[in-house]
Amino acid sequence: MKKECPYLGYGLGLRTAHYQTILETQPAVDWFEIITENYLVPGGRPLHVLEKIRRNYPLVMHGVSLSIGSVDELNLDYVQRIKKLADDIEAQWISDHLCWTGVNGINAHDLLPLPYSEEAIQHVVERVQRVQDMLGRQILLENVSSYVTFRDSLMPEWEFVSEVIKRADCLLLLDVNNIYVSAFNHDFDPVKYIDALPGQRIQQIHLAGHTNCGTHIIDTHDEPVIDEVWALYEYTIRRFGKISTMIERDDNIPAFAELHTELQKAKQIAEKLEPLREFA
Amino acid sequence: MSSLKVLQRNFLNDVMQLEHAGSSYIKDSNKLTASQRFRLYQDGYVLRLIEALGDSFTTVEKFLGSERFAAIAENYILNHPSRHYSIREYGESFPKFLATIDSLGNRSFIAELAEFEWMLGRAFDSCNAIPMQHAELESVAIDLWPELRFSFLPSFLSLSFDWNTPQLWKALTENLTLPDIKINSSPEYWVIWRPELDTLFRSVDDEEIFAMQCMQQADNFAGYCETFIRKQWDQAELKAVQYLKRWLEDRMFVGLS
Repeated sequence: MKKECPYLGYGLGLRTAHYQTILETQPAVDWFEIITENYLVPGGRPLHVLEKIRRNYPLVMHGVSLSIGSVDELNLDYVQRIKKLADDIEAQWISDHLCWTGVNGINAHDLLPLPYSEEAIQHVVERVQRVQDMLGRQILLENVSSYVTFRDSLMPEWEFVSEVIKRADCLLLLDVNNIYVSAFNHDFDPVKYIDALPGQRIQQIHLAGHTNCGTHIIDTHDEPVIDEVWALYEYTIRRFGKISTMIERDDNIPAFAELHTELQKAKQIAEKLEPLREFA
Repeated sequence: MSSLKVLQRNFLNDVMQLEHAGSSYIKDSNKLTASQRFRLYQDGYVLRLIEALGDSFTTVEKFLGSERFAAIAENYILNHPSRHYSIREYGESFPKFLATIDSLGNRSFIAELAEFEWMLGRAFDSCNAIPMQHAELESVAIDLWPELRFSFLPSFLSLSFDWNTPQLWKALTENLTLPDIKINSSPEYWVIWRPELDTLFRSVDDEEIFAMQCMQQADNFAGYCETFIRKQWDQAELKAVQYLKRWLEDRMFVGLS
């Protein structure tokens, strides 16, 4: 069932605003990540552009509606659609979030946090295994940022994340910015979080910006990566070795060149550190 | 019921009700109370869906102004939870909702404007199909034509407007001076289709929309001609063929191969 995921280098999120630049200039980016749901459509321009871009770049898929932690039944039709798209574009891997997005058939279109409990771990692990069986490959789950701590939580987030990833035999999409955001919001040490992670299972890293409101941070993905997050990224690479990394910008999207410059910073940080790690 | 199920049902219910900040299952922190933390999810829920509606209905938002649009959208959000995996589908019922808003009075053209935008979006994402070419038709022996079945593209759809809505849409889209809003003396028909990547649309008169309906319902070309001619328009036989020629030039049909 396992399909080894390759090391891809340094990528960017594929956004509509950059279609033309990418098609016309074929910029030096190692790979692109697509928002899965944007391409689960019957036809039209987005799929046409995607087909052109995939001829020149490896693609990975990043979904927002798997709702792996929901107590609702898994949406099998949705999973089948993901599988078809992944086959069509030869996606290098498929990721979503370690969260729930709704219940009772309702989608809040938000990445809602789970309580960090044994019950939640068992629930998620069983569902990840079913999804992986359907897709015929391991999936990546991303740690989400959060603004609440549930009374039902019985362990720190890093322990919850690590247990799910290990027991479900899936991979981790580590969002370093999300660790920083949640560490600020919940008063924990982000380094302690990173140290506790199963490094060999980290397949991809997200870097992004956020909005600091003083008392809390909102994960807005509308600003450049801040220095503190760059420092955490450097720490992560120093600890675990080079990992496929991308900049994730979803709002206030700048010119492609600006994001490309930001991506070069990630590359410079990582390339001066450890050689490419060996996957276990 | 499992504690996870109870928590998720309570949490989502509280998020969607907007007025009640569910804090019984959330811990306070040094920086914010449980209610303040929870509020971030309520605010995010509404803002995200307002933004999704704004993306789907850009000209409606432009016409109403952001503030008024947001207020109307919030009312929609209160009564229309999303049930689709894609947030882009969230506005499906918004045009009908707009038609029920008392504060918009007799300005039902706003609902029409929303419907027009939504249908353009449908065509944009619809199934691809290769349009029929002249050469394809010319290669078919004329005695086989009566049995030919002409199918409109999967993206093809028709709309009727009580107001001069498409003109308003065009002005809003192209930042032109807005036209006087006028009610039509009788419903005006428009068709939307996407032969390749660009979505096209144009008005059609009563006779042409009837011809299109005949073609959609007919089993073959002979059936189309028979139904259309039965209506006894002037020069019906000639017009039946002229329409076919026009639709072919407009690349509205799926290719024969």
